[in-house]
Amino acid sequence: MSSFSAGTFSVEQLEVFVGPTSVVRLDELSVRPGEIVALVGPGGAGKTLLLRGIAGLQPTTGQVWLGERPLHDRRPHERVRDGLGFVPQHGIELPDLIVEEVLDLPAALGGRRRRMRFGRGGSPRPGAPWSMYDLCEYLPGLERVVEADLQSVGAWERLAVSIALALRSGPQVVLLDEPAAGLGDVSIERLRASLRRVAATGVALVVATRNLALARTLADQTRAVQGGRVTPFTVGEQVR
Amino acid sequence: MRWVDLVIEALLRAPTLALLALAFGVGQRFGARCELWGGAAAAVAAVGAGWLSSATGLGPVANAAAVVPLVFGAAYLLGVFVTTRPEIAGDPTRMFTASSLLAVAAVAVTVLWRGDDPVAATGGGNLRELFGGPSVSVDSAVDAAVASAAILALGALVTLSRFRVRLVVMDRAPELLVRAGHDARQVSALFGAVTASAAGLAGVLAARHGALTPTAAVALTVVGAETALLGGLGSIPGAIGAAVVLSLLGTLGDEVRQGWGGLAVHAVVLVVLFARQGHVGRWSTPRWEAAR
Repeated sequence: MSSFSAGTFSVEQLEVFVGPTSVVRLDELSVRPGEIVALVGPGGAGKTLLLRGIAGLQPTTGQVWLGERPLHDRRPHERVRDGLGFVPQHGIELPDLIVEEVLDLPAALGGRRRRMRFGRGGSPRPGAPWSMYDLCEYLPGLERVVEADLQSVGAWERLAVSIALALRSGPQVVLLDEPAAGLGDVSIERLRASLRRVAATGVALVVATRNLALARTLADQTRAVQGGRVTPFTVGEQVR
Repeated sequence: MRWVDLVIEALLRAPTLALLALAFGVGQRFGARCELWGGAAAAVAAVGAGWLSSATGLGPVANAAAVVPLVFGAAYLLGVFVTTRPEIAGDPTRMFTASSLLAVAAVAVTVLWRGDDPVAATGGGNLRELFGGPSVSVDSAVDAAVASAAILALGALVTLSRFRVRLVVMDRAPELLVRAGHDARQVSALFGAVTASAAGLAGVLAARHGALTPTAAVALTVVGAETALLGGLGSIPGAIGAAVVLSLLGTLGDEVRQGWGGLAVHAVVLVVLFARQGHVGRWSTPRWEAAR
């Protein structure tokens, strides 16, 4: 049983494997509700694999806890239901679907559809599915593409849809893999503001990025991912 | 009038091919992401049951066997979506066991319900009789064809209206389903159920068309696969269209000279496949091109 308090997200002795090979190891990480942690490192350092391992999409050993709930023996979709959202690097690109249809996917899980669709919200909180109203409030630009074809939306909107899909499931923690990749300066600023607002609701964020400026201005704590290890890191140090 | 009769006969055979094609196509495109040949196996099993129907002289009993995949499919569906207990719904082995028990129970109840006549209980493809509706005087082949078309249409409507988004996502980005909290294996099982149902119904219909031999069973399976390839794997309109075309071709070809029908069907499929730049099984439409 984890020694952390309820709501704290923690990872202990996590080792991520590709086939039989251990490629990245994280000894300890704990993230309080509303806290933002940046995992910085160059491309190929293992950030993506680390996040996928935490999300259950990659074989791992070690422990992942959300409060007192163990996630490490849960399957990926069960982790999502337990409150662990995941936003991969590449946004959603699916022809023949409109944004709203994708954002309704989590609603199809149970009798939450009505509440999720019509609830005005206004006070999103960790563990509760976000309403469309709240999503549009916290992710500017999303409201313009709700009825658009997924293929026709821009890079920021595509990322916003991806983040919105994670929030729609009512997460307590969201893992974001290189959210700033492919975004211009204006969109990165928008991303920073949006993530700060989301974190302010109590949702913890773990952001993997190679963008040091984003890490410096966004994160409450920073770790470096290099050579298959995750180490404490103070922004300002050089990450090669 | 002779030609009109032939066309009608061909159209009555078409649902069998359409269902087989769907069993192949749906199985390959969706449910068989983890079990690639599941659809083919279900179709072979159903056609095998149809063959058993005439080859062993136990026709109606074997027809009952062909109904089982249909019942199994429905029970499987029930097992997946009605069972909310995650320890069952998330585990294919337990789900399989639970669904099989449901299927066996459903058949047993049906047989008991019809009492002394288990053959009548399954109706040999006459679904109205199976479910205790009013007795019908129309030809049983027409009856079965109409019933299958109705079931196919109903299934397509329900599937498209209720599961369309999940179907598209499952097909093209299954990880997205997981990110939305869905069990991709469970969605996959839906297509297993559709596959088993389609194959089971095809087996019932195939058994209605008279003598089936082991060779015929193999040939039907091959033609079913060809129909799927011609119509586009997983495409319901494609399966129906291709089934009508190939049924007409087969029936009319046999009218010209016995055996020419089958030959013509295989020949057309070969020509179409090679004409599409060698992309076997990839029937291109603008929509599908865009999907890639």
